[in-house]
Amino acid sequence: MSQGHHQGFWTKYIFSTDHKMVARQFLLLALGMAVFGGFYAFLIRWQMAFPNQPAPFFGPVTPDKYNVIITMHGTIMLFFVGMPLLNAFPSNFLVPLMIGARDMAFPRLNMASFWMTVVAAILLMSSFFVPGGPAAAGWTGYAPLSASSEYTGVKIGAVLWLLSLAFVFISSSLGGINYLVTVVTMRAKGMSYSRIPLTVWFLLAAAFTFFLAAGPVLAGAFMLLMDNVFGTGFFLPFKGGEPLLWQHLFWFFGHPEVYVLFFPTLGFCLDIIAVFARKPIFGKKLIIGSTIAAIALSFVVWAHHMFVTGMNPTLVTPFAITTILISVPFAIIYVCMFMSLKGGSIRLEPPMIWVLGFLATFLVGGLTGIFLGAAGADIYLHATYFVIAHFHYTFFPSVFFGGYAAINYWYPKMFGRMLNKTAAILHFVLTFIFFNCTFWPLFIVGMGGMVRRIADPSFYPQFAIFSHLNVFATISAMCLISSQTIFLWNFFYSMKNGKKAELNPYESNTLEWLAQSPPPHGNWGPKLPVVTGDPYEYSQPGEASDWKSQSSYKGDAIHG
Amino acid sequence: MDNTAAVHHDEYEVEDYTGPAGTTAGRLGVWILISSEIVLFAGLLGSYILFRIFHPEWYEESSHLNLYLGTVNTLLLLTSNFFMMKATTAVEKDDQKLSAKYMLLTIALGLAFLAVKGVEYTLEFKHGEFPSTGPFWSFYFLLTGIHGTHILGGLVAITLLWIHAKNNALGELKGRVALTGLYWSFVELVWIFLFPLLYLLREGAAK
Repeated sequence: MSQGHHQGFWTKYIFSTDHKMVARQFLLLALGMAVFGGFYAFLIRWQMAFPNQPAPFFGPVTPDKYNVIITMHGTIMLFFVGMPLLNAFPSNFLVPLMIGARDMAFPRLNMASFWMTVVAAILLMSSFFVPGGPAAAGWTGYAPLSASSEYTGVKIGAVLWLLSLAFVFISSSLGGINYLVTVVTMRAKGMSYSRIPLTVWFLLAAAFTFFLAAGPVLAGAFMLLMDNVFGTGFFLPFKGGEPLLWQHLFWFFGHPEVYVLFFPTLGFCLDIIAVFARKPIFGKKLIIGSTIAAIALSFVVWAHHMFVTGMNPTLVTPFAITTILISVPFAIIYVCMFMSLKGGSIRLEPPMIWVLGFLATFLVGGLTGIFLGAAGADIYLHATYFVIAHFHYTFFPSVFFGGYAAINYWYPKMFGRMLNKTAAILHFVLTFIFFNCTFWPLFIVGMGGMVRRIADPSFYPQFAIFSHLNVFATISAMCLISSQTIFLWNFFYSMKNGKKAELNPYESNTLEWLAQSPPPHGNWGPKLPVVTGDPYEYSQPGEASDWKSQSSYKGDAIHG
Repeated sequence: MDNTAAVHHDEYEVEDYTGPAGTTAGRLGVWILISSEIVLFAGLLGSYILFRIFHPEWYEESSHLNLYLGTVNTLLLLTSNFFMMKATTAVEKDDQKLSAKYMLLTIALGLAFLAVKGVEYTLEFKHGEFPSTGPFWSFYFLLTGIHGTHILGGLVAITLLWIHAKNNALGELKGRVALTGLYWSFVELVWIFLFPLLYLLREGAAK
């Protein structure tokens, strides 16, 4: 690009303050960390299907290693894959482009936020090389396991894990401040709040939810850090502490966090549905209202993660009620999505296929959540693989189906080239089949009574009847992980060799498609776009074409 | 490509990004930062309060805190906040030198606060009261430690502004004085919660 002449290599690619470069950095970080997260997933499944046989590329998964592996799998997938892929990457790339700004409100803060995440990743991965190994108390870090090295034999690893989380939290909060301020102060002329695309709304909802929820668990992390470093006993009963306090602080954050990793996907899906069904979004205001209700409710459901801790039954009932209540706003959003699809002239391009896959799979995750929200059922199911199956049916569709939908949709704008369509569809079909084959059996295994959080299933003879299902799930998981190489190939190969992308290959209304592909430094030409319309004016009666861009901005498009 | 000039950085640097009702990006950013700090301290104080409710014996332990030094520190912090406000008004009247003087007073009082806190810690260590002594002391050191770190952060920010202001060179940083003042008020407000919850809830307080 021509503007490169006043930017050296370091300022352009490494310490960049350009929101698009920061976004691409976050995307690459997420994909890189996903390789580790996926490998640990493979090891967990290997041990469940072929207990105590040496795993390929690793060796035997002993109980101490198993604890490390589940901890790392959860931590990496949530904080180093889910959050960069669904929050940092799209917020950085899309927020300024979709509202017609040149960059973020605080570009240097933006760069700092990325590098803090890198430091966090290094701290986490370096714990493999310290005496005692990495943290082994699960991704939820339940006290007292996590509060004293006597239980897991891990000391330095636990401290590094906590520091790493603290960095991720601060980095994500700074990012959230940046996105919110950018949307409030830097919208292009005419971009009223009602004209902001839903993707931006949901990214904001996620950022807002995150930093309202992060405080208490950050407080808890400081306490846990002191327990590990200074010998305090905040969470150690024999020192006068309260182990359950950690669970409260953690899940007060943990449940809203689920929506932090879900809202962005809802936004992508709604925008993609409008474009590929060529229809306005059904009930846009209803969707925004439901989201606000869901955010409010998400702060009063956390104790449903703790029904088996022996909490007072009078407290169980209100939490069960709020939990079941929170499915109402999401059901409304779901119905709005289906109504938006109804009667549309649907174009089955890869992004749309991912969205349809998301709608199908997430529905299973959402509905099984109601079983777990009902305290009576939860007390039986809580410690079983049913929970594993449930949250993988929510997280996997949200992070990966949603993430792949976003990458497929915005790839042309990010890299100026198209992804290979055949490879993209093949990737979807294999992922969809093998994802369901991996996690559906776990519902059955869980309802049958197979307990989760065990390092060696062969130790319990009563679980032998599930071994064929476990082997089936494991082989499917291995196929699922292998199928992702198609995506990685497509992603990197198309960057150089893909078909050159047009400015607006999908005939979409939103602003980002008016900028060059990829957009130059500063995004727009000498003048900013002026917004004149709603993002979802598709197939309007009396119009010559079935779409109408939000702005008549031409800018420097002719040079593209 | 001949659009180089169009995307040159300097050309759009001057655009004014003021939001509705005159909200500047910086002011909004600091308010959001403060709101995220509020939930952090809510988590810390909430946990502490829950513990206190179930541990009446902590009244005895909190009596060991030095009430006089705590009171002195409260006064120091309140006064420093007053001078930071004066520094803000001075900048708004475009008197950077005067503002620098007020900032220096703010910094001195802030440092004095930290020094007194250091004396308190030393006295407590001498009496064998460490973070690991018991849950009350764990909370005391955690709460005052995190608050102290915030004071330190605020002092660094004020010092950076002071260096510019005393040379009449604030320039574009002028707006930051009010923003830093906002943050400094918040840090003081946290102490207003910490002081009664830690120092004043002691034996004899209820009698």
